[in-house]
Amino acid sequence: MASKPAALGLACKEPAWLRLCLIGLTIAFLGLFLFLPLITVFAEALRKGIGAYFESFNNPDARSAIYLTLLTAGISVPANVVFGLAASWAIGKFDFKGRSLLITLIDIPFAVSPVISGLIYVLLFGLQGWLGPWLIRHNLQVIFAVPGIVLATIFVTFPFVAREVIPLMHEQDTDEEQAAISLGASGWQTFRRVTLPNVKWAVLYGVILCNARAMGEFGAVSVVSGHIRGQTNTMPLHVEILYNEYNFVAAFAVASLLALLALVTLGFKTILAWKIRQSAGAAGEAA
Amino acid sequence: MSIEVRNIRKSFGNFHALRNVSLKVNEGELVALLGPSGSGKTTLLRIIAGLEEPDPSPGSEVLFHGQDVTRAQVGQRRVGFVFQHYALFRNMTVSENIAFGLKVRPRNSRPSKSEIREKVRKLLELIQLETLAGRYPSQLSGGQRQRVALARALAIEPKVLLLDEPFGALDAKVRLGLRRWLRRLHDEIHITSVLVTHDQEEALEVADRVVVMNDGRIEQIGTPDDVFHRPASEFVMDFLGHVNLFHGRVESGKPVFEQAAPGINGVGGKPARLLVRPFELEIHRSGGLQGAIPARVRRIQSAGAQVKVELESESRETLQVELSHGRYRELDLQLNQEVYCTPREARAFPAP
Repeated sequence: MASKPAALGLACKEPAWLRLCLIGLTIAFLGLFLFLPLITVFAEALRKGIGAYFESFNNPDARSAIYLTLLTAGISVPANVVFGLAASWAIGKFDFKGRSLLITLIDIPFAVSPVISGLIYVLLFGLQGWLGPWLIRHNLQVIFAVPGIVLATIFVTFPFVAREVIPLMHEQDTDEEQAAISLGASGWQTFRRVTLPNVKWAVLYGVILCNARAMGEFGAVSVVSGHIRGQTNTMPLHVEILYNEYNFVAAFAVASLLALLALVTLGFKTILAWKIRQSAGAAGEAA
Repeated sequence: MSIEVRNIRKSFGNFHALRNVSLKVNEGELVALLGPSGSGKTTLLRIIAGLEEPDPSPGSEVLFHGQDVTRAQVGQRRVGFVFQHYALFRNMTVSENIAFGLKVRPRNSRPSKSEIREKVRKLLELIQLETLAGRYPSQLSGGQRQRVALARALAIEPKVLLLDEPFGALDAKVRLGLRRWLRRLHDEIHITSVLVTHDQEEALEVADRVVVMNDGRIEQIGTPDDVFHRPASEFVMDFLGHVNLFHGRVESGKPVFEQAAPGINGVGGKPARLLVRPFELEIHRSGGLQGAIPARVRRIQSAGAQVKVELESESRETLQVELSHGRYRELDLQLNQEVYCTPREARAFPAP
């Protein structure tokens, strides 16, 4: 065992110039496409000083956009946690006909362009849509209103939790659940005390990704929102409007919030990935 | 509490795991279900536990103490089930694992916190793991995990204890120690127990009675002595240890070996397969004995309690012989030496 890493190191040893070239290339690429834009966002946002930066958030439209974004994420993330857990519990722990079809269906939002997802809701709930006349008769507005934005966001983000949890639940098998049932636990007790704690890090990981996407979603929301300032604008939509109006400082200031969200998400993601690896390692030993 | 299953059938698609099995386990008895993989032993255990449902057919029943529990859920049967791969809760400590079955009880029948703590302490003492109460399963060795699994099953004061290959995943030495410990434990608490194993040695050593299963059927039920010395079928004899197979016939109740007297084909009697255990074969340096089979020494393995000698008969068949070290020294066997062997005892089964 002791000689293995050394032997591997020797086998993988490339000439120094090649290694330097590859590393340099990677850094240059990341710098150009990732770090530079990120710095630009903050630089542009702070161009007219810190006062102007914070002044951008003092605008009612900006506040409304932030509020709507938080509201949307606040509804769609919990909804997708419930949905994701239910789907993974069914798919990961039970064997039934149509299981693989269900897995494929869950992936649809990843395969479909977000704009199309938005259009589907317009076709369903819009004025000329299937349910449109019924909704109008009952004085319910979905499209160009908050419900449409939430629906579109839920649709776009629903695979995130399920996709993280299904493989883990499947891998953990049903041994512990059978043991719990044989000890007299009910289905709910089994889920809450055994299944859920075993996947908690994966659920959190899914939540983080789901949240980032819910707050950052542009395409689907853009189609259903109608861009009513102060009413149906989320942060990404608000950024676009401000930018089109040449209000660069305000646009980048709001954008910088989304960029910060991305950085925080990355941080959490790294910690959680490490936690999941750790608990998976412990599980592997226990098996 | 006694367990009885009647006319149980179970199939998975086209595979018949159990073909009409009936069995009675008496109160306080430890019964081993023994058989190769795919013989249906684990399926039978899971049906007793209620983890699997038997195929619906008339007269098919599972009875606990004479009461029909065929449709009762596993949680209502009060069975202690020990899983092959322990199935300990990985997110709970040893104590929490053991306490689980008590903590999930409905409020009106749940013991108080101090009662649970006391119970866990007693069980930890029983499995001799008091010092590891706060550890997680991943921090335990295989043998320790298995003992925790057993304590967890015993915590709910089950009426029957069901063990699915409990020592299958352990190394030989730990396995030996643990199964003797299990037998002593059973002698102390006298709980009706069913143990599934594919290891004949384990079954013979631990169980009061052994149920030998093959291809979804019960081949024989009997004490370890019964199944070992009076096997009901060729399968049972073969499964319970090495055998040497001879062809021959049974004449007026006595086995006659073809190899010993090649000329007697068709003389009379029923054709039979004659099975002889390695320690029932005797080796002689010179022939002349009646019924002696000439053979050559091909391999000698003398490291062990008995000396294992491999012979090759004239018809190129391999014979396994086991003899004591004393007898081996007496014979002074050499490789390729010509010897004669006689069976002390043989069991005859009808030729197919």
